[in-house]
Amino acid sequence: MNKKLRENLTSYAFLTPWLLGFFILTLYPMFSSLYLAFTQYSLRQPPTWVGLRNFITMFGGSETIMGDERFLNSVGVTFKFVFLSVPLKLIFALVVAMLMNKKLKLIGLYRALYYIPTLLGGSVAIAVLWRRIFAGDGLLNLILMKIGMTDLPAWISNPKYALGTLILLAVWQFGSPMIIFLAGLQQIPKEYYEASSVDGAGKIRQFFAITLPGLSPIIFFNLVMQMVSAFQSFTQAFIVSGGSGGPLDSTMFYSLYLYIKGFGFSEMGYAAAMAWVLLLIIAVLTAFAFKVSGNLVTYGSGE
Amino acid sequence: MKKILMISSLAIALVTAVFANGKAAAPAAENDGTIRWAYWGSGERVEISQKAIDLYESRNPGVKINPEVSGGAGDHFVKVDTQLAGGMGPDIIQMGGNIYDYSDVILSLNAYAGTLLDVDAIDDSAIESGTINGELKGVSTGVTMPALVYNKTMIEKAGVPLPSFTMTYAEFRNYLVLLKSKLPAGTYPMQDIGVTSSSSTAFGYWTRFNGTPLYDGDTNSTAVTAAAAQKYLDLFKDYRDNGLVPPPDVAAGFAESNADTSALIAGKVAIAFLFTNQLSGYQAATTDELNFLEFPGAAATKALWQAPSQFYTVNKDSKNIEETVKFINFLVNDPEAAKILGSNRGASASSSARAAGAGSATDQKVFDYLEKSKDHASMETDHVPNDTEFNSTLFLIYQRVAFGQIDTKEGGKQVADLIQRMISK
Repeated sequence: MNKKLRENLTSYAFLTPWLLGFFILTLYPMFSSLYLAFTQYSLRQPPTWVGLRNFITMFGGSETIMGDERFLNSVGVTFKFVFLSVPLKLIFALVVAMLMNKKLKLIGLYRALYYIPTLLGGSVAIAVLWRRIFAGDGLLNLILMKIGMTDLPAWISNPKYALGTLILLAVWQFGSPMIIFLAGLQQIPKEYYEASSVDGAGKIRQFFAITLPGLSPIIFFNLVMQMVSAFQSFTQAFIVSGGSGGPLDSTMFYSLYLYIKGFGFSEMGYAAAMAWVLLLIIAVLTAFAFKVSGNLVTYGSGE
Repeated sequence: MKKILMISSLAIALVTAVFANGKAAAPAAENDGTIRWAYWGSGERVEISQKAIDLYESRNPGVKINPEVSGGAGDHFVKVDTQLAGGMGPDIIQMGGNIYDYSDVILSLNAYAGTLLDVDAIDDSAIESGTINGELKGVSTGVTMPALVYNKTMIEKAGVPLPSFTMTYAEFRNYLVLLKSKLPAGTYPMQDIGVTSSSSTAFGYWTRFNGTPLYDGDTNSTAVTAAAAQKYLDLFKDYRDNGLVPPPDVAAGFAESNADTSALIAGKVAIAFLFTNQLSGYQAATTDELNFLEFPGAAATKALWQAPSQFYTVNKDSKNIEETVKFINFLVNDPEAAKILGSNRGASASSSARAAGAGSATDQKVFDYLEKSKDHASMETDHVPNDTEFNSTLFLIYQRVAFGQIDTKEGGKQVADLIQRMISK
């Protein structure tokens, strides 16, 4: 046995637990969900092959099949959520990161404090709290009434505003992109700022000419990561709407509808098909982001 | 080389040990005498179920009963479906009207009827309701009836006379108008009944009242037309436009899945829809006094019905069948258990349990209602197939009308289409 093979064998031996986990718990379920996507499966009876029917039902393939309007609505709601919450969150995270990049007393404490919402935000407790804040007789309306406003809506149960409260909840969890921005900001050499201020550049000019280009790979990374996770949002909508995606399906996220279809309506095959469509959507958007990024993202040439 | 072999065999041994443990642990856990009892409910139901368990365990040393509770029926079935699909289902599964959907996965109790399970004490109608194709699949937890419930304390505080038990729809509307004029701002005479997302029962009552029942299983057809469904939407549009039910965004703030998310318990409305067995749980969640009245128009049409509240069913893969059946027998037939459990899962269908009498004033109200409304009821109508999807979508259509997205005519059409789709699915 030659040396190389021997070394590799050792590594594989050590990797065995992980590899088994990967094949049994990740790869196998993935392929079985691909199979289930082409079946009708109620969990209680064995799956039956239906070909492309699940996909045709989703989008409407012929004149007789209109497409699943609740599905199409959930796509719309999710896109709205992603394209509003992600940019807002990134802008907010960047602003806070720049404030945190100063040499202040107790700066470590501030950084930790501002990170807390991210640790809490995905939790059920916060979603319940959100429900109370934005309810008709919730905290927000109590405050607004104190300052003299009347005729306030029940934010969380009004189809016009419900999604907005969820976007706010997402933006509030700005901690992890903030930390990454902060690391990125500290990578930008101080000399650039010093040299530009000698040349008479103001703060705003410095931001657009140095900070943004220097940070562009980080912005891009954050954008892709946040986009992917925003597409998969589930907990907030599930708890805030009491599992219904209401009012009027206005908070019916893609993954929530997938869950309701699979576990509520016992259409596991359809739910599996939806999962693969979501994967495709995310893959296409990510590829698009990479394509566009070619012109906008500058990678430093190593000092 | 030896070293590598040792390391890899160690790793493999470790991994197989981990997996073998996982495999071996499961059946062992089921065989150690623990009975897993899955049900849905909150508050009072959890407390009294635990009390019944404690009593049973103290009488039967060595038996351990492990409740697995979900807040609502929806969550319960999500959990149970997943456990069943994974071969790890609980021993006792609480079922509702969807017992037929599950008849393949639950055990026939015929072999135990008359021995471990005393069926002679249980009413024939209750046995019949749990029997599918000649096999006893579910043991009725008791009977229940749809009802309206009013908040006596709130109405008295507003200085309005209490509603009569039996009313016509015209009298009922007048009463709501009277209530509206006296109730404080921000509170409303009645819950917007269509907004009970988990249940189409109130709509089901209305269709029976109009002589157009939702579904007939024998002919696989519905009597509900677009025009018939529109009448229901029009009725509540009138209530909504006149402030007799809350505006849609207020109503949508209450999920109405249990007492914790109920507009009635929150003091937002004075009258709400409940099944009789829910009264004790709701009463336990408020200091206000709750009382029953009938759905309007029931006296003339006999549109109400009695239904089995829930069933105790046994998982056909249970490893502990005999102990499980004994425990179910205790829950339904034992007088002491009956006193503890009250009417929370329905008024008992067992004569030996009933002999124990009402355990509380609330239970007495339930028994009185069942007695008084018995003559205003007729046979239960079949459930629309694909119950969960039907309720969820009906709720969505109802909200579209309530929020003014579509008019009642379009809403009626969508409801009729929905029922057709559920039937032909």
